[in-house]
Amino acid sequence: MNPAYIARRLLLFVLTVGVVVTLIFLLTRLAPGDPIEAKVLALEAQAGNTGGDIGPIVEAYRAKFQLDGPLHIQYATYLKNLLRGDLGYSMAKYPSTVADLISAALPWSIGIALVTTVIAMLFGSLVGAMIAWRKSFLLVQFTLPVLMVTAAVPFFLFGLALQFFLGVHWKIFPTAFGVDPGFIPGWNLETLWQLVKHATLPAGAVIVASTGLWGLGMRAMMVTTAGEDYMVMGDAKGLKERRIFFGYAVRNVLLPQTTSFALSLASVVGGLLLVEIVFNYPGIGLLLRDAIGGSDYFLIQGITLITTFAVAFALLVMDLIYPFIDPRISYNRT
Amino acid sequence: MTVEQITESSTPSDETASAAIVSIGFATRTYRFFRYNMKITVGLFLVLIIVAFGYIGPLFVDLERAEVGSFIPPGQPPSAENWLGTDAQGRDMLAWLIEATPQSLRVGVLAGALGVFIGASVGFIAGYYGGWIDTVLRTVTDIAMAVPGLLVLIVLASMVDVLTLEAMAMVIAAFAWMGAARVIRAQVLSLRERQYVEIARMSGEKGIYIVFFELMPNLMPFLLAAFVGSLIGAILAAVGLEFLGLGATHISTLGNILYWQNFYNAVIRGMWWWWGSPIVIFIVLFAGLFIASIGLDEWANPRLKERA
Repeated sequence: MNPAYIARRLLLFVLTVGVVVTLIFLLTRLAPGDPIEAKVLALEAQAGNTGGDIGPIVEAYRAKFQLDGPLHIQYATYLKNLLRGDLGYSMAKYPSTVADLISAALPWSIGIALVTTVIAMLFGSLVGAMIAWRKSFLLVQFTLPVLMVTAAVPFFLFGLALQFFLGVHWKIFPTAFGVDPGFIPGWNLETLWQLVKHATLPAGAVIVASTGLWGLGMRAMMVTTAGEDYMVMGDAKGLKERRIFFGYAVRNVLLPQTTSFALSLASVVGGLLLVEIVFNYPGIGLLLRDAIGGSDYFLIQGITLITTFAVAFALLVMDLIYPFIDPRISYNRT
Repeated sequence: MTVEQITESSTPSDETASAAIVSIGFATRTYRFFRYNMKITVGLFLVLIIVAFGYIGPLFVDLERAEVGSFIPPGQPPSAENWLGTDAQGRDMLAWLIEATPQSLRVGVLAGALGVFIGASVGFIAGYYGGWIDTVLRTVTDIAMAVPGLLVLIVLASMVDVLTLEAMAMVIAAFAWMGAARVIRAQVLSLRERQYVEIARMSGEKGIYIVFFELMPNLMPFLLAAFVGSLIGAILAAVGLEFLGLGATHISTLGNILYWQNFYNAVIRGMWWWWGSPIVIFIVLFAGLFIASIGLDEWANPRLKERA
């Protein structure tokens, strides 16, 4: 692989993360309204203590959270802390740090994201390819409008519908939480069952919605292969239908399909977070909702940073392994 | 859709030009356009249903019924008096939806238009001037694409108490322009090498003139398709924000209704009409927009149409 390509790709990664880090720093420092003051006022009101002088308290908090001093010094401290992996303290759940809260929630989200992506990719690509395949049964062709609807509607709306029908109405699956309340997870089958049971509905919502995305993308790609010479050649050789379908058509479009999905990864992650909120699923999305509800600005910033980093990193890895899995591409030109 | 596909496509103006030679009436031409572009027709029809619901609805339904405390019994399932039922605070769902739909559409249209404007400008400049300008703008687009826009919006929205509808649209537009930029750049790259552009350039036309009179007409279908794409993205972003209880919280929007149903656990309480009715609106609206956008893509780029 060309070193210039790797360098350009790494630069893009650093720039992406850098832009978001800076953007969030500026947004939180320059926006009107002072989160610290608001927080202290709210705490005072809670204690039934109004009209007191909160100036010194606010100052103390600012110093504690490193929000005092000139902007460029703040920025330097902020960057230095980030590089050390220090995202600061949670304002709402004070003694816990942002990093602790996020690392407790992250596995839940990543688990759902991985499982749903793999299932939706396989299933959606197959359905999409079959729709574009003229010789498949007529019934398959009718699924196209269904795919269009599922691809267009926000993930969490499917979540609401699934929750109602399968959770509340027919009571097949639990409607909330990662495991039953009060259940203590361990390394046993019971835990696995609990995890699967509770993840089914949120994962189902994401799968239904993203199957549409994969399917439509795959269909659009497959249509372009229809007139290709190698397809005619396969036909002329008298190969079996199945062999032409999988070996000639699907194989050639599967990889470009991955790139188009990479481009929509950022929005898929956004959709996943909202689904978690619908199901009270203890991942990043729920953490984010609580952070917004409790005006926990540091937690909101931390979640945004970690998620952006994760998405940018996933895209980087995908781009770097891409030349290895697709022999047609050699990045000799950058 | 890859860049190569777009750049190699013929532009639809060729067809319209040849259609104009055979002199047929405007009505016939319009009819034929919709007849041959069924996806655009169907999509537009679905969208119009929702637009009509939001804008003609107030003529038939008293919007006062959407207020909290309008003396309507709360938590009622759909009945003869309350067609779509009432929420936990006695708001009539039908009136509430009619009030909310135009607001959601407005955010989408505003943000979508602004997004296309930004995206088209970036795409134009990058494609037309090329060189280092192109490299910089393309990198910026790539970066913006990798950022989960919803999250940055959340940070921003959580920092201010209440956003106006217009402010929200502007903020959303900042994350709904990348698709337009990519498509327009690819188009301009291919168009600027065409002979008529060459001729215009050789006859000493200014860059601006070439952009608006030679390139723009050929880009219209792409701009329209990009607008619908941005519109979908913008409404999605707005609904996402509102569902989290951020953004224009003082105004009734569809996302707002969904926030409150989540707040009052409507699903668990079996109040299906509360979340069900906005979902129907969303499904019709998004399906309409999506089908229309696929139709526009095919109109802009006839190669995408399935070969029979």
